[in-house]
Amino acid sequence: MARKRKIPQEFRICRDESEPRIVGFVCNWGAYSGLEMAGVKKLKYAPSVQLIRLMCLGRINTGLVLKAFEFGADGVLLLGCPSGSCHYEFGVDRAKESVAQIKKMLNLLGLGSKRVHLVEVPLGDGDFLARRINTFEKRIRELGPSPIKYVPTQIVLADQAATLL
Amino acid sequence: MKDIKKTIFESKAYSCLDCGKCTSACPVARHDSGFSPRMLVYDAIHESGPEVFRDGRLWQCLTCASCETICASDVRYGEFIRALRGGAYEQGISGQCTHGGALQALMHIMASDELNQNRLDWLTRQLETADTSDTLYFVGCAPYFETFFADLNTKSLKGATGSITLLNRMGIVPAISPNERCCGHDLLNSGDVEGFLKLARQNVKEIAESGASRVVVSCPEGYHTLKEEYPRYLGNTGFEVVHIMDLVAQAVLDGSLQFHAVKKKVTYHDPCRLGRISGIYDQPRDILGAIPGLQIVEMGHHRSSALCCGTQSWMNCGSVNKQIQVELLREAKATGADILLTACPKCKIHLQCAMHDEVLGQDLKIEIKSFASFVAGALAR
Repeated sequence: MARKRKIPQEFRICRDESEPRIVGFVCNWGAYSGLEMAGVKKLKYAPSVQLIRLMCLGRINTGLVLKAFEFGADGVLLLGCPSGSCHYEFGVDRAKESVAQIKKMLNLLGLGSKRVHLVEVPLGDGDFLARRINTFEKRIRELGPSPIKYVPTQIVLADQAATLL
Repeated sequence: MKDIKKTIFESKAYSCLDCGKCTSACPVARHDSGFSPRMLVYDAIHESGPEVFRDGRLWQCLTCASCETICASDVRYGEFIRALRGGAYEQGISGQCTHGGALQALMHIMASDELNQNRLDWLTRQLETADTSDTLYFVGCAPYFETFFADLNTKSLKGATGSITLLNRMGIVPAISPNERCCGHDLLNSGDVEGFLKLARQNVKEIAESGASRVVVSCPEGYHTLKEEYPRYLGNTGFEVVHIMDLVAQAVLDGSLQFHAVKKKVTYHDPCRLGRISGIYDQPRDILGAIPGLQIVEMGHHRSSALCCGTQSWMNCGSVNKQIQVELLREAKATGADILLTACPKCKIHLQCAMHDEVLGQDLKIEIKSFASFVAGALAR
């Protein structure tokens, strides 16, 4: 039952510390098609948002979002379908339940509930998506950096890990 | 890499007689024939290589100390397991975290220096606390549990409010640290010694800054960690650690705490960290015995043979763990008690979770209450 831990390399890449770090979880259906549309239209959105594609926003849970904060994220943006038009019917509703819990946990930790935000993106609406990403990035910029500094206790290199299991 | 030989020597695993008593006492081995504490020791002694760290069984042990109490050679099994887990963790191997890793993330987040938590919203005007006091009440992770396990309706904070009520009634107005961290028990138990040390240093600093000379703890894991593990890793911490039950039992003996009659039948569950590991068995029974009209019945397994709540350190929870919980709840039901009392907020969460079984449902349903809140509720007006 042992499991190999992996520390995401992306979070440890040296970058401009004054820039916010935002993790965006993107639903494969409504929101991702919106991103593609934004790309086709050559719309600009904040580069500090690091997007992670999921099959459905229902995949996220409190642990996953808290993990992003643990690794030093300043904000987490969740991009999904509007309630009622989820590809899996209930995924985005589950995500909303998780977000309610996450906000309470962040409040307890003193980070404030504003650092996490769920956006319901109408199918393939690139303009809307780019606008909302930029608004969120602006909000995080105003809130300032997260007090959590991720210091990796140890670095497991991928090749070293492969020899272990 | 952690020296396995040294671990075997320090935890006295070398003295293992291979008698197998540990396996007979082990709650995991009772439900999982593939798990044997004795075989783990045997393998560690005979293999002594990194393959020991890759053993999945390493993470199944509940460190409940059932084996330690029965061991003829006094092998410190918990220490042995923790050391091996430490070695495995250094190599990047860890157990399977439960609840999507949220609790682990929480512990790591709390290790941050600049954190400014907002964790005392539950304090009401009825609960007297002071900014500075000789006594500090260590709340533990209850505010987080209450929020995170809201769907189970665990009411984890009841233990904390009950404890403060009891302290107030004994004439103690405790200070409460607004920025107290997780005690680090679970990180230490899952091999992350570095993470544990970060939390421990933060807590020791917080307590030293508060000026308190005595820390009262109600959580069994917090009590054990603050009392035993902090001095072991950090040397003299400069404060005394007391369990709330010690204080309450003393006050009951003095006659300074009076109770009103409670016509109920209760059974008390000994949490591993409080019973077998810290040796607090008599105090809760003395306190309950002082409540008039209260009938106390014991489960089949009680005191040093008490059953574990089945899960540890928010990892590796599966069918075996569920079976242990079901066994415990069935025993509690069999006593005919109205209420099952436990002193540990985690035991409460795990048992309440096990009660959510659709098939066994009513078979396992029993009212479960935190010990401190029950006793505080029985205080004479």
